[in-house]
Amino acid sequence: MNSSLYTNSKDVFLDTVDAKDYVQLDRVSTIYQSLKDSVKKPLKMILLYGKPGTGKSMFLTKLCQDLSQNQEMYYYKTPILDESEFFKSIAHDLYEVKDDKELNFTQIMKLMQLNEKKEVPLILLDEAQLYSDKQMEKIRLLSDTRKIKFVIALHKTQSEDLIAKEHFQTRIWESIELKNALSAELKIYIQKKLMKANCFDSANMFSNASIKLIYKLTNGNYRDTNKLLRTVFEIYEWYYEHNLSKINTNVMSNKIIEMAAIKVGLIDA
Amino acid sequence: MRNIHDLEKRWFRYKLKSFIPHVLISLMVVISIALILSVFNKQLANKSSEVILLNNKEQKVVATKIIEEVKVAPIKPQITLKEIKKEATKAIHKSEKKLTLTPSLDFIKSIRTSSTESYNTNDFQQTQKKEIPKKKIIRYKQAVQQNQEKNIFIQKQETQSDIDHVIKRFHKNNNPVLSLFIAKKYYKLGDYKQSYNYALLTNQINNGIEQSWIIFVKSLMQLHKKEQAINILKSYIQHSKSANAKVLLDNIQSGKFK
Repeated sequence: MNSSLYTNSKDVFLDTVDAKDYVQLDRVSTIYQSLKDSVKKPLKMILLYGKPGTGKSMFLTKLCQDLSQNQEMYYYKTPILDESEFFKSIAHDLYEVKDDKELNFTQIMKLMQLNEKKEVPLILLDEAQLYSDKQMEKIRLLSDTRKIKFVIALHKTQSEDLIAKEHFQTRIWESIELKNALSAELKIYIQKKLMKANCFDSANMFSNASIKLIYKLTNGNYRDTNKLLRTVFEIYEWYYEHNLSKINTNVMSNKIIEMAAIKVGLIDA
Repeated sequence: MRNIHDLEKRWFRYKLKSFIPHVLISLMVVISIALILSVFNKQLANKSSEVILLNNKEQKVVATKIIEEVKVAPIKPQITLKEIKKEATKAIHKSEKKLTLTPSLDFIKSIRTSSTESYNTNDFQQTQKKEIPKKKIIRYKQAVQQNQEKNIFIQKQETQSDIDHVIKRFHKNNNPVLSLFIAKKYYKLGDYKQSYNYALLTNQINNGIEQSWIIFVKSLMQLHKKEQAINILKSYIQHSKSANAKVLLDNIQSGKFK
């Protein structure tokens, strides 16, 4: 085992949303399949919700990658909060309207009626909780025309249950909730991720006890797990280069996991 | 990563912090167990000390009672024949009311002559004549004196001196327990006349002592007064329904008595 392995392992857990990094887990695969099936149905809106770090963005990215070849699809990773900009973006992507003039809701509705498409295009909206209620209501009206279909990903916050909101209750025909990983799923997730990058030695370092500790610290949240493990391998890398005698390269050290947790703020010390 | 040492320090502090609740909880548990045990032990100790104190108190109470009884019990320096005679007549009066059996007290004279010179025989004889029927009076004065002299030589000096001591005590306090004891001793020693006399005296003082009547009857039997013994025993059985007396009567009548 050399320091480059730790470097590679560290890079595996970089917090990026890349469809290549998608890890197939049984439960996640089932959910993903149900999302794919929902997209094919004649639904107006599909809601994908869950706590931050449960893989909503990854789902949308993966869906975009998988379906974009067969279906007209546009993925808005960041919310376009300005209404005119939002309509302009839709007009540009769907109808190739390259006009710098402002576009209002009536104009975009007219545009949609004039340019009817054989297949209903799909727009994926990530972080949709940032859209205002007014804007969300206009998105609902757009979907009501059945000329456009939306997949909306948003955070399920504790303060307000977004599904309970009227415009979602009445319009959404399909809602899919994403949850944190279970302990067993987390182990598979970590090891699969490492093995994908050929970091087999690193993958073998994780015992059930260390997975249990990671699960305790991250509560199975994928984003937190990625952050934590990136820091873990960063610390390993440092010890390997500066003080090799302090680490056991065969077994994941709980001390280092806890140190990493302190570093990323999962432990308040 | 440059701040590994700082991270190590923070981790060390975190571990210390995380161990503190465990240490505190264990300490609390240990302390609470120790407290419970000490309280439990104290309660046990208190209970045992209370028991000891109670025992001591009880012992003190018993001791004080005994002392009081000893103090209360009158110790008469001297008993005159008059006093004995009065008490005897009182006892006879009582016994006459309840019992038809009233044996003779003439033998008292023999005791008087052997023990005290200040006995008033006339008064005593008068009361005897008044209270006790003549038929039942038996005089053994001379025989008693002879037997006493003989027994002094036959029996061990210790036994005789013991009896003498008890006789002296009896003369002082006129206690029927002592006279019964003397009667039994004499019966054991084979001095049936003396045992008869003391049993009779006991019966006169207290006619409710079963042992005294049995010794009295046995002594009569040993003195070959079978008919008289049977009569007296029958009267006593009629009065007291004593099982032991019945057994003795059966033994006498069947000839088993030796």
